[in-house]
Amino acid sequence: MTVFLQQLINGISLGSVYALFALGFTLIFGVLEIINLAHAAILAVGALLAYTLFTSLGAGLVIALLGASIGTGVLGIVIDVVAFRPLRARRAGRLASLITSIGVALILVNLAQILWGSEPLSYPPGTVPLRFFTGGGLTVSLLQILVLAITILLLIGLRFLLIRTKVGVAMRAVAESPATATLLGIPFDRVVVFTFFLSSALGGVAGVLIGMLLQGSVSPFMGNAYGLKGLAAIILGGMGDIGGAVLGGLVMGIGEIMIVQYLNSSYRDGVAFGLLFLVLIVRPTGLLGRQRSREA
Amino acid sequence: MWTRVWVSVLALTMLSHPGLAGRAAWAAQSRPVKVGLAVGITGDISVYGEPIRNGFLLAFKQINERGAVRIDPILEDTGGGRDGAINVFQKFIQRDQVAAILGPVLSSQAFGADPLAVQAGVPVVGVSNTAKGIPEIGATVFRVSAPEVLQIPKSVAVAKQVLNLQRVAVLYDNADDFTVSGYRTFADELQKNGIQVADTITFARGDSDFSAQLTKAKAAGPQAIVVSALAREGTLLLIQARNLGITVPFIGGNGFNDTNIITRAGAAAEGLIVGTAWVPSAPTAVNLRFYDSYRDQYKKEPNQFAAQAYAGAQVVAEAVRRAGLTGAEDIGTQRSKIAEALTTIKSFETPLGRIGFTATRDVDQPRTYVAVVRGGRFIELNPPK
Repeated sequence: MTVFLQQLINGISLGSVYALFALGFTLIFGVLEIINLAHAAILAVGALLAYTLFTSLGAGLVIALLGASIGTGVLGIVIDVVAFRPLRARRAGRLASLITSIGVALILVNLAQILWGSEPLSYPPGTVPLRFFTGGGLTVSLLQILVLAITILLLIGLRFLLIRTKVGVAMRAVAESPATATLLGIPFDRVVVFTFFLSSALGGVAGVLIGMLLQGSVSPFMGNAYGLKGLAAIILGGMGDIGGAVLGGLVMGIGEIMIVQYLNSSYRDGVAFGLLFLVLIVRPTGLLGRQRSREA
Repeated sequence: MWTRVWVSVLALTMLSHPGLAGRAAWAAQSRPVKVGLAVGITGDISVYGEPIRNGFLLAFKQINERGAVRIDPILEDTGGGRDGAINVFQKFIQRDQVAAILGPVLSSQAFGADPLAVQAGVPVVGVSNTAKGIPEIGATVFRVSAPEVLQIPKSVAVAKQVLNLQRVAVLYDNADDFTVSGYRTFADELQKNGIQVADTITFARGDSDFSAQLTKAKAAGPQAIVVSALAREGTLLLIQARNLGITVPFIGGNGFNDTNIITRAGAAAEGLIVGTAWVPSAPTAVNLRFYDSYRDQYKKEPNQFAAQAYAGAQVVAEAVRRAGLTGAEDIGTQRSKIAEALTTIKSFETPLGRIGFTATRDVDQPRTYVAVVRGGRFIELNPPK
């Protein structure tokens, strides 16, 4: 029983990391229908930016988180202007933006490698709140709780933003139909820029939190582990649905951990993606996805 | 044309080495012999690639200064994958026309790339490939890195004595040839020593979260955890194990054999036991010179990989000397003569001690060590008498 509970804690912790990654990932898809595979690279850049803030400027945790998220947010805008806007101007298909995002990811990872080197880094001791709570044979770290709490807060915040604020309504309008939104006077390009900023800033936050949670894992390649899993999580949860992204992430995380405990760790990825396959057969729209009506 | 180039090279040589050494070099060899260095400097294996590159370059610099032979080392980055290593080997063999190749870093890369060299008759000396079956790839493949098949039995035997081991859990990376080979050797040795394996759990190269595996291993109640992993995964495993409240010692394969792991894992690395082919304190003149010059040059402590790379470069240079190459022979002759000369190397002084090649082109290294991390350093671990 203790083992099960500990594994559940581990699963929720891993799942909230996937969820955090998936939030930013699904936002761009939900609004612009772009599968931005550069999101994993943005996550790595966020984690590395925080590393520089910690080590060179002696920044505290809050400053590092803010700095990294603003930095990656701006990077997201640059990526949109340089890579995706020209495609939209030419009315290129979705496949073109998918391939472009792979190119962006390659460039970002290699640039990061030039700037930060390829060796895995750790945040300096003392910058990360390393507290552990033990009891009844279970161990929970303050960071695990923090990551889960931040994920849930971001989910609620995003929900609020999309439903209650003006910019959120504009984003949803663009998601529904860019042409109609533009006709109604919604500044399309500004909404896109904001979406990229928000999504990439979320990616940056995810990077810093993962870097803190998994000490010694900060490197330009750290996003690799999350790209495919994050995509699987948002498909599982329902493409473009932010609640679905979090649910999908948690299901993937807990599922993977339980497979290691009760089946065989070699099947970890196999069963995770098998699960995805099954869900898609039963519910092609994902767990929380709704069929969008497009018959207008 | 060539005369003019060589006059200027001669002038340069005399300028940079005004002593006798420079002249001797010119007299012995008309052209330097090209040696390809296939090293993963970028990507997740740079933790090994960097000291290996440094070891190579330091050795060739010193060898060229001494002047008995002249080597032109050509460095190429293979990255961490097989494809990268294969591309670099192709470039070395066809475009650069090298006479010998040192590298690649990983055993999995060697299994992919070495056959190309064998086909072209190019001698390859591995300096960090420790999986089973490396020299068996072909008649021109050698290695100076003591295979895990020889190192692991020693680690297990010493650890058994020191820790009074009866029950362990085994964790290994099943996505890499080297770590799988290491795991098999560990499994055999544990069985031979009558140590019970409470659980065997796998993970994959590139994973970052090992909480599930570690929780499972902890639940098995082992006295120690045996791990076959590469450095990145190994470091993360050590840190996460301590965070999960696992206090038993870890016993690692060659992938753990790196001072960087201690730097990164900090206190979590304490008590880690590994087999190693080199310790800094080996008191031979060659080792002292290597250790000091490496620190002078790179402002860092050398590690086992740097020492093995240095030894590999020495061995290749020695083979070039024994082959009596002038550098003007056609490349096929150079390659076959070096391969032939390599087989004659026995009891040759390196930082690893006196090494040579066996009849099956594997390293013959009489002295290897078992080390443990204490106070942030690898120190030699001796069984109680």
